[in-house]
Amino acid sequence: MLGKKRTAGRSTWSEIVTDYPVPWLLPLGAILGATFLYPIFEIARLSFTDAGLMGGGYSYTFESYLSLLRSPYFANMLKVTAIFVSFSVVFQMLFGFLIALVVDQGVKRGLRVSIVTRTAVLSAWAIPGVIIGIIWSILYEQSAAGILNHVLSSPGQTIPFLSDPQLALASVTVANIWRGTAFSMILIYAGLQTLPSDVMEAARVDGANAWQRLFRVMLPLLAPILFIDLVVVSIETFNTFDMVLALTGGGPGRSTEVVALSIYNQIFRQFNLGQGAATAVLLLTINIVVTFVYIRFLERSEEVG
Amino acid sequence: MGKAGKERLIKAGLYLAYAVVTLFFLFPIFWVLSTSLKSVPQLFATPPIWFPLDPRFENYAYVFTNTPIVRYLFNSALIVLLTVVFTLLVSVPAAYGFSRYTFRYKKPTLMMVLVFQMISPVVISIPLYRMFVELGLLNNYAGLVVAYSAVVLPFTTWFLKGYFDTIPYEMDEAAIVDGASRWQAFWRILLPVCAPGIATAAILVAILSWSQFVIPFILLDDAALYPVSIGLVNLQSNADAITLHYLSAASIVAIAPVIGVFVLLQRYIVNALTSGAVKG
Amino acid sequence: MAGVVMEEVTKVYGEDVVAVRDMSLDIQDGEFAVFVGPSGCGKSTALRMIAGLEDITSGKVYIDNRLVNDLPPRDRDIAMVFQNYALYPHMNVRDNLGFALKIRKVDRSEIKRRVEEAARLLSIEELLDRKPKALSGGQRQRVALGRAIVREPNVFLMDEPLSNLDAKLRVHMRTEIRKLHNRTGTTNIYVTHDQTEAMTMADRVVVLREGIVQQVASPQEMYERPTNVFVAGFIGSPAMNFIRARMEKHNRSLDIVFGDTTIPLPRERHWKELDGYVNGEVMLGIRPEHMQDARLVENMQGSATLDVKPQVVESVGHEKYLYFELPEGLTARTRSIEEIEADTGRNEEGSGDMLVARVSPEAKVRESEEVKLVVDTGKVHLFDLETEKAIF
Repeated sequence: MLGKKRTAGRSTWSEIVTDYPVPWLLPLGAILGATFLYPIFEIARLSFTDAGLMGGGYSYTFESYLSLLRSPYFANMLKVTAIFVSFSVVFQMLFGFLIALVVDQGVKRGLRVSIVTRTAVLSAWAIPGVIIGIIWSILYEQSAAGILNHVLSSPGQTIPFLSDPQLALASVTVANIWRGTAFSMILIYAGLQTLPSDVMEAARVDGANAWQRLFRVMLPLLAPILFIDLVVVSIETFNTFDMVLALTGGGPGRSTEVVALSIYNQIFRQFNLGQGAATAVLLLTINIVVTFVYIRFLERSEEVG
Repeated sequence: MGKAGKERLIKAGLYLAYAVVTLFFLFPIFWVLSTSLKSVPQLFATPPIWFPLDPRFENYAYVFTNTPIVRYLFNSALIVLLTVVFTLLVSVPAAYGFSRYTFRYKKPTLMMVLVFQMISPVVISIPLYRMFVELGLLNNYAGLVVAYSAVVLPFTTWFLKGYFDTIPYEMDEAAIVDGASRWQAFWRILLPVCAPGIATAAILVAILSWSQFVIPFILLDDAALYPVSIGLVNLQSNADAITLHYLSAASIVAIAPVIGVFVLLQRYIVNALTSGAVKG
Repeated sequence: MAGVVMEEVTKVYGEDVVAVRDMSLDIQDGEFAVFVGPSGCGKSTALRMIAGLEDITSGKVYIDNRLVNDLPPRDRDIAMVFQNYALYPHMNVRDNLGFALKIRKVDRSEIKRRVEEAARLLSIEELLDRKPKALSGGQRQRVALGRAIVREPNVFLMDEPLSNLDAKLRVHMRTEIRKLHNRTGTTNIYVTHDQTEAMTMADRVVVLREGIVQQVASPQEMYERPTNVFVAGFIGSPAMNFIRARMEKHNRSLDIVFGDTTIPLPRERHWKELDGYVNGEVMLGIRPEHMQDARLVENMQGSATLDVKPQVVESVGHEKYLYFELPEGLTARTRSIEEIEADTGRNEEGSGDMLVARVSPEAKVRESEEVKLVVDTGKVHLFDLETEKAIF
């Protein structure tokens, strides 16, 4: 890297300035500071107030947190979110892994069709989450004219995909899995490309069968990628808002009100800025904690690798 | 069973898997497409009609003339274009700074950028809303684009930094020994060489921004300014059982551009994601 | 045309990593100097400090009698050739060659002239319109050289330019670079880890180890009179054999004794200084090429002999290499020797302490068969076992 003192011999002011890293990073720092740092402090601050959305006077208080914790909906929201996130993540990763494996095997055997499959899965990722919500709301049509009803139920019966509280949560989760599998698939597919082929061949020569190769060689080698996948997918699922809004809006009742939706509802529907902010702080804490776990992992693997 | 037989079995299994997976992922889109081409009575048919034999393309004409979808599409395109430009203007120099310089706190700074990537837009849009109200930036594309960019800046910067890192620093040094200043080395050497990576970043930003919902949802309330993601939610709330075909058509119109771009460029996108995604 | 002078130049990274320590050197105008040493010895760092790509922690560097410590690379009038060529991939060869001149706003006709002349000198005229990715390794190397020539600088700096070429090409390019130097007469500082390159190309060789200059001398001088064990073992291939021996005084002659072998030292002026080593241990250095099969030597009088049983015999056509072991404890091992062997990969773990002799191809030697070797006593070296400095 170049040294620091290079002013002698520089001809223009702009050349001197660009010798240092700061000017290059300044715009990024300014934007991120204004759009992330400031809002984060603000939302934390607001959670300790009883302010209203449109301004006006307010005072500082713990009341928002207290009423949040006492609210009967809070426990419900936590449960809904936990179920939503855990099932989404597990199945997204599982399906992502299986599809990646299957596509990889196909590519290795020259089956061109696998590219079609890969593209199909990836297109789901490209579609805006809101529209995915709309698409699945059409699929989940609860009258006899609904296609999923037709395929999955017995005649005369209709399945209340979106109006039964338990079922609604399941429906939303399924739609989310559909949406998010692509990301895991791509990540794991990339990981599969980096697997050293000579290690796999050595395992074959050593006599390991396919299951053993999978569990004892492939998965351990993929572990770092799987961890990254776990972290990123988890955070994204925690942050899910648009799809659930379009699909159920949090209902019926509040049986599908995940945390991001809860924040929105509290602030813009119930006009309770303080409590909504407190919930937002909760989400933020989850984001940051998980990210730090991730960073620690990255740092450790950098030292080792 | 011999080896060849086993191989055939595996291939058959793979084909089956492909069929199932492709069906699972394409079916919803197919169904919406089918719904979009039905007449109103056909919507209520039981058992449901898989695909109308006389597709009503006029549904699309209706959507184009009677809903603001064209306006929404135009808005989305404009916002996305501005976001791509602004994001690149900020992230390319930043990625250069991270890649080519060493300085104290570089690692913590990079980590902080990573943290920002993981924060939910819901969390930041509420204070942003209040801030924009005070600054009069509500319903203003200038403020909106900055917010859009902020959401994708961390990822884009990481991605571009990773890409810049693959260009050996020796090339910059050669330019410097040849007499170029840092700025000249950046502008005349590094940028042209990195053009493919920057193009890929632009595409990724475009795709991600087209899907953005929370930011415009909270920061816009003038319907004329809605991008297609918000516009469609609006249409959905105004729709009912007898306009399902129009809603479906509008959905197809909304996702057609993205899918089109995606299918055309999927090879580049996959390459980009597989190389950048591995680094998180 | 200019000389390069380094005055106690030191480079420290962070708190305590000393890459180069008090390096002082006076390179003459027009000289071809080669910095050589194992990886990590500081040779590239030294070169980069001369180029201005690294800060100088302390000391002074002069190019053409001008102090350049605070000058950026562009103002030092130097041109550099990098190990990985560092060609601009988006420009064709012509633009690559002309880039530096364009930056300096040199007249377009002048650029054209210089580019074409450089292309002619390096025989790359047909490649002018191609892009780097369409060139072979050797061609890219020549373009990198051309980029430097076009600048007509005071000093050429080359950082291991041939390391990425295959062996044959490397040999060919060595002569090309040397020929180029003879034509342009420009001062050239060349960095390599390959001692053969250093010996064949340099006017003077600078051996570095752990940031410290070991010796500066012409190739011949360095071969014949290495100043310490490291230089003795680093220069010359296969490396010098090192043996622990005793110095004894018999009548009026000084003998070096080990095992059953006695080597009488030829009379030299500074015999008196060796008094302190009499009846003590010294390190004896004998180059493989200074041993021969006794059966092929006509006049054996007064020469020293050595009986060995080679474990491995390698025949390379014009010579035979005999690998043998000496009885326990006679082979010398010091840190320098171990470092050299680690760098060249010789005598790795478990292969034992093997010594090498290079004998004539006519020698009838077979593995595990005893053979008597004759040592050329006029060519032995002696080193102090502790300081590793040459004493004879």
